[in-house]
Amino acid sequence: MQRMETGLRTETITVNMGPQHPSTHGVFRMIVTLDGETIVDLEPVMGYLHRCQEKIGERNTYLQNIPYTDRLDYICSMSNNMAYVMAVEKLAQIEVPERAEYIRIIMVELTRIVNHMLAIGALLNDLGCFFTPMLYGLRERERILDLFEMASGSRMMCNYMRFGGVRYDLPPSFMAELKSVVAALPAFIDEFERLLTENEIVLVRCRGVGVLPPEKAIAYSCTGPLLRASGVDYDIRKVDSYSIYERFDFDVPLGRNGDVYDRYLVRIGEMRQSLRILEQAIEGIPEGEISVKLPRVFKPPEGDVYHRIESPKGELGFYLVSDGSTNPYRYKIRSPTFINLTVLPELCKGHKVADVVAILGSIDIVLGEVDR
Amino acid sequence: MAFLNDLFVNLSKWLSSFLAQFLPTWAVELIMMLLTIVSLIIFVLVTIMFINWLERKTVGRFQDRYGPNRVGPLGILQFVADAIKMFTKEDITPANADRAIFNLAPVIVVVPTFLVLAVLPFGRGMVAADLNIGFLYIVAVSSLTTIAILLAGWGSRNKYSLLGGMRVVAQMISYEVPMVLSALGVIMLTGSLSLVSIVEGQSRVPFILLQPLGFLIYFISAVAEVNRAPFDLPEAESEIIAGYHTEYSGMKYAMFLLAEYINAFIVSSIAATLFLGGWQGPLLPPYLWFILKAYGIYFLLMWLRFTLPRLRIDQLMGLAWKFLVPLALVNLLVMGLVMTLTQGRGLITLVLASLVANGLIVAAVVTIYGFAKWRRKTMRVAT
Amino acid sequence: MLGLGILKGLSVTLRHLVDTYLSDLRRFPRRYAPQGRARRLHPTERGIFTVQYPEERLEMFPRFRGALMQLVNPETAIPKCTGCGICARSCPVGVIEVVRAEEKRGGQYVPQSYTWDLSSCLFCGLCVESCPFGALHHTPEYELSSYGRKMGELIYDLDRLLAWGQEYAPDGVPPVEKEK
Repeated sequence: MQRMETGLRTETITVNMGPQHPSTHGVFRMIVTLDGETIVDLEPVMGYLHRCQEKIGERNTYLQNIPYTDRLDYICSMSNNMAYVMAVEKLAQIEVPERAEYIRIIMVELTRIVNHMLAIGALLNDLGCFFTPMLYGLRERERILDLFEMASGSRMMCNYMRFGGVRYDLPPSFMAELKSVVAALPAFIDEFERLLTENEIVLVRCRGVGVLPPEKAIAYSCTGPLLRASGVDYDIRKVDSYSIYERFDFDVPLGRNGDVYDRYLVRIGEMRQSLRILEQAIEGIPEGEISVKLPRVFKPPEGDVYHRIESPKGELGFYLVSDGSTNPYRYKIRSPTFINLTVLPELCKGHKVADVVAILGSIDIVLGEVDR
Repeated sequence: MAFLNDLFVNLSKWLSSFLAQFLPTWAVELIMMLLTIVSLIIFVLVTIMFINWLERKTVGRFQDRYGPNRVGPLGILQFVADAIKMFTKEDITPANADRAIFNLAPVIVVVPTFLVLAVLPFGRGMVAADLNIGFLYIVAVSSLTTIAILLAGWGSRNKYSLLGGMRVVAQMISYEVPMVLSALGVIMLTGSLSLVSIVEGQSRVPFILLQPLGFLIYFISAVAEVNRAPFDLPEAESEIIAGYHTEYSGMKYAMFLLAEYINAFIVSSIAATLFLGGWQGPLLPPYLWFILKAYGIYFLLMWLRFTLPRLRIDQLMGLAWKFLVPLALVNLLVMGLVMTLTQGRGLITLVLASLVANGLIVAAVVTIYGFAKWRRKTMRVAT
Repeated sequence: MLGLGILKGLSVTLRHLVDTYLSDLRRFPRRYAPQGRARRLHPTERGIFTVQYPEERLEMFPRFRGALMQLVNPETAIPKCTGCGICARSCPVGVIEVVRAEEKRGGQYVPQSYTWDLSSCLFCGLCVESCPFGALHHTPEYELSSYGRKMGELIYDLDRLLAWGQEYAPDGVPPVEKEK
């Protein structure tokens, strides 16, 4: 929008997109400075959901921290569990049996599918679809949550991983159910794509909106689908491989322009790649032990460790400092969405107000993780 | 069957002859007029109850769930629960608001919907006022909604309500142009503005077969006129900046909702009258055909609403002025040509010629679009 | 391209609409699942997906982490719980309070009082995992709302937990071990 230099003194308006949102992202506040319709500046204000997890982590023992990691990014609890548990295993040099590794990979990839379904559903809800794609996504998510309940006892706050393995072995009916879910999911993703990918209105609302150039993405430490949509080939599962990811054959979908539409496409692509990994894991899962016997009072050796995984939202890292006692001395969480949000003002400048919600939906934040 | 077909007509005739026995003529006319008005208002109220229920059940079915099914059998009384909720909400007026305008706006927004009902032919001989400028009256009266929305935005004394209200006004005024231009094609076919003669002119073939493109343009413009998805930016803009009806609560807000739903129904019944043949139909009574056709088009509106995301304001205006208006003008030109060339050669020639002409227009649009895309692609490769 | 994408999307939603009516026809005339036991649709089934609570409820899996229960030794009818307090120490929040009784009963220690505060419980299951005597287990109970927060409403004592133990594991074997 060109502004004519008429010599009139104009002012900018400050709009507060307050903590209570009609969108589904949680308590997040944005102070937007507008010049007419265009955004001049945007200041995100976070911290409304701060629950002092890092301080509580110092009070808890290592085992008691695991339910708290469920509640970080409350949609992907299995990934959070895995990141923390792998960090402690790295600190204490614990070997994980093979069957447990396979089970963990299955759970994490299922979590990735769940998260992306919800992210796309929420993005489209913000664009105005009145819940229909979101409810279709939630329908498939229900089946995966049933799998989680079958294995761990709870749908969302799974508390399933333990140091050296997992809590329970998979129940007898799990594999059959998993196979039927994995067999039916490609059809669902195809239906989702038919509903949305070529929809002209989605194209027109999302193309060219919120473009993030790759250099800027790297400069701001963005990770996850945000980074890959800008064309940077950086997936921690490939670059800094952990667990048994080297055994699986999968691709990393990349975007070209780095706009909202590319992030949507990257998420759809990642769902398909997760299905590939799942199929390979189902075929290859061996029999065996599912965890390692640990002493009742668990004291890892002194030292510090930083371990990161590719959670569905980006690089989730745990930095633990141990002083040899039962509680961590320092428990730091590197949450991907908190760091991804720092790029929000850059993305929104120059766009209209109606695009802010689309851009925020494409970054895919969960306030539990942003504020911890 | 014939008794059922002319049920309401016979009823009114019997009533007026009964009243004429002991009342002077002017009193009989007055009472008949009042009864017509009251029955139209009752029709609107029954329609709003039914439409609210239908909308919520249908959105549930689109989303793999039942709609409301707790209050009353099949959830029929849900509207009663909502109405009670609306009545008992606190009526807040902002302190700085312009009181007269603030309170007047919800009233004015409902008035045009009732006024339009006066010229709709509900069945054979069932029209409240057979104006010979029927369609012009409809266009004129539905523009009043624009004023009402502007009053709502202005009276709230809220920068963002005013902004939202002005956007709505821009949207509604822009989309009236293609709406009228596409309806002009139909009026050219019958040569009369009166809705009754338009319906009677479709006794052999509905105009949608003669003007499919006109129907499409009219439908899209009508969806934008009544602020429904994918053009519902004014309402859903309350994601970000307040829309024009944010400062309203309670009964006044219910008035805006009522006006929106009834407008949607009115616009679908006008589309049914202009393009689908109004009350014409083989077996059932005419008024039932009218209701069926109106609800059929209303189902299309619901289908669009629950599938498509919404457009941004500049994309909306671009669609109206850069796409729909030229298309409507081209449609008018081609239809005029077709009608002149096939004059006096029978109906089937007219139908075939118009279908071929519409196909040619669509092919031309597709070619131009494809050519533009090809040029953009080659230019990008070249640079 | 020019509306085809929109038409494809519209066909997807229409298919869902039609499928819900077809699934209704298949269930006709039953409105709710028989005996109120609903089941999740199979991944390839289409139609109405929601469960009409409270007329029908989903079955909980054996490992479901619902409310807690205390088991009784089937031969001696003495609670298996010895009041050792390991569950209270392993709870991340601290919702369990155990006091061991002074006298033994039947040769084993028993708790004098055992309270579980429902309002702060995470239902994480660390207490169940840590019990060395196998006394504490989960039930499939999830309808736990009450009108107050006091003892008997949201704070449960040993008798309430033992009653649940009788209801869900009368033979002393909890549901989670029955699934194998």
